[in-house]
Amino acid sequence: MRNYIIRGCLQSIIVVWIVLLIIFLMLHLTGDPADVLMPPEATNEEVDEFRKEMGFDRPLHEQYFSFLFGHKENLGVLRGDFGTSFYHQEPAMGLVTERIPATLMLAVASLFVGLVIAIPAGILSAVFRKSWIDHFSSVLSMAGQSIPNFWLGLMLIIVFSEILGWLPTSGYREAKSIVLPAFAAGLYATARIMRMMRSTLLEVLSQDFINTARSKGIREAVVISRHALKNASIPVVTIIGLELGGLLSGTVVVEVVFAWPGVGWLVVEAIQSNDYPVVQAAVALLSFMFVGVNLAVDILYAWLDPRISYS
Amino acid sequence: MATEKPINIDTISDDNGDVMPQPSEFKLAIRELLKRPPALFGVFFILLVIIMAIVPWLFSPHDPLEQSLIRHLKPPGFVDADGKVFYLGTDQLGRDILSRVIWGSRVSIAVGVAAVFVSGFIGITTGLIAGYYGGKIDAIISRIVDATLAIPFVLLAISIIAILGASLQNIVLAIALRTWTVYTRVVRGEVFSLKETDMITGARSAGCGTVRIMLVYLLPNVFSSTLVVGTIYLGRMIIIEASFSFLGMGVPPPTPTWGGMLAFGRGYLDTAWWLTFFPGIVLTLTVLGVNLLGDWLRDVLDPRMKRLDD
Repeated sequence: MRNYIIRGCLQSIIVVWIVLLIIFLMLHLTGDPADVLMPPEATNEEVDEFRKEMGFDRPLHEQYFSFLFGHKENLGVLRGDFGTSFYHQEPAMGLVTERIPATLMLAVASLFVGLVIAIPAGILSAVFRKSWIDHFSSVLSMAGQSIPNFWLGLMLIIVFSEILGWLPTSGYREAKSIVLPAFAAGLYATARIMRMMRSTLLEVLSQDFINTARSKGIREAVVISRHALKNASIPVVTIIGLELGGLLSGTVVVEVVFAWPGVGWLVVEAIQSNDYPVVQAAVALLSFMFVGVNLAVDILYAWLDPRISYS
Repeated sequence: MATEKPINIDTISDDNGDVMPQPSEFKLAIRELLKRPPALFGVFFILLVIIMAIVPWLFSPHDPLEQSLIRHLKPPGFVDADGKVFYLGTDQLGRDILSRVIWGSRVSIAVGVAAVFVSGFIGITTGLIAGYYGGKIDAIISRIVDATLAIPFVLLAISIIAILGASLQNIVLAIALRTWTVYTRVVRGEVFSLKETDMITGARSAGCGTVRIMLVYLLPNVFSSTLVVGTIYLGRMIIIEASFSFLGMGVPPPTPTWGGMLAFGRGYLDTAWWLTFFPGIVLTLTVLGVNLLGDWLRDVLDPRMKRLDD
């Protein structure tokens, strides 16, 4: 088990390193980062001066080294310094971490919406297979995977804010302003968790030990709640973890729709104002969080299921 | 002398000894399709959208770019002074929503299909290499896949589009940069189990080169599962393209795109619902159609992937 965890951590470190390489190379895609970063109306002299100041005239490997370990007053990304935001004139990482709670809150709320609908619906449709509730949840899961979350958000605004006037179109301060964004962002996760819950429970229900339990005269409700659900929980826990990881970065467009002050909205604004230190910091931080959640899910999975070999 | 009937492998006889023709695989697939109304709907809707994307002028009642301030924000069914009907209403510049929805299918289908091909090409190649060689090469490719999956996709993609400039091929590139990983994982897994089969050991001992084994023996065997993955992902690519356009990172206006129409309509949610409703519902139905088709293909082509879903 210990070796398994150590290996997982090592693999995560390699992944983080590749992520940082991709983020570094991103600005060099056109060959000249100075050209990308400077506004189009800048003169050639200004671009040249900026290129010197930022060190873009140095060899690529040297630039990568200073990107990681720092250069002049910059501490380097390994110490969390992604430079200063061009637009806000503040450390880029600080701007991103300020927005993390809002994104985290939306992700958790969306997951909560997903779980509240998906777990009961998944269980019921597995137990009452081919009944109306099963058909209804299969329609719901197909819809959940087909409706773009930002369009769902717009439609929810029309119905619940404009027509019925029950919920606000945007905002962050009131508790009820999270309801619509959480539903819009959570529908996809709902569909996936529901499908997973249903298919794993069906698989477990077809196994011998369930028949044994039934033939012993145990009531069906007890068979399902005590014997089947316990065994179906492992893959479901895994997919819940993965969905949380996906939601951290999957809510970008929903954030924009509801003017939700999270990382996604910050990045969209930063891209529009060519503020790449902020973009790089945000992409890096969300990637690390994703890697962290995945590692936690892996370890949890191994801990829950003793059949997994650690070799 | 009794003449013996030649045995025809294409025919089998029923209980009375009468010969019945054996339906071809294609006919079987069609028959299977007719038994599944959702998949049938999927096929029809996708075909309709593809035909719309190829020849939009046959369907489009008006010029999608023609502006008129006199008829701006008119509701569905509006008839102007010349007797022209605007079935789905007009937008804030007086452009016909129906025509724009029809022309908007072009970008969605073009980006979706191109992204599937580009990412499929990268993913199948890397998957074949990782699965066939295994060991260190597999470890390297797998770590790159993990890293790619960890990066918040939409954020990275819109940054890349912003850096390279919003054009059709840059959008396809930005999408493919992430989605190749799906094919890599599927193909790698399949090749892992295939390479231990007699077919491959036989080919190798007969002196086949690596490239030949990959192209002639492995590729055809992973084709059906990649086709299934490709179909399922086509829907997601279409959603992704629409969200780029919605964020203003897609094909720039005045080219009509479904995502761009939604972005324009966002400012009129309280007064003109038709601006956002119609492009979105067509987008959703298209993705739904692709997903239903993908589900069906999975059941027909790849029974191993079929879970206890029905």
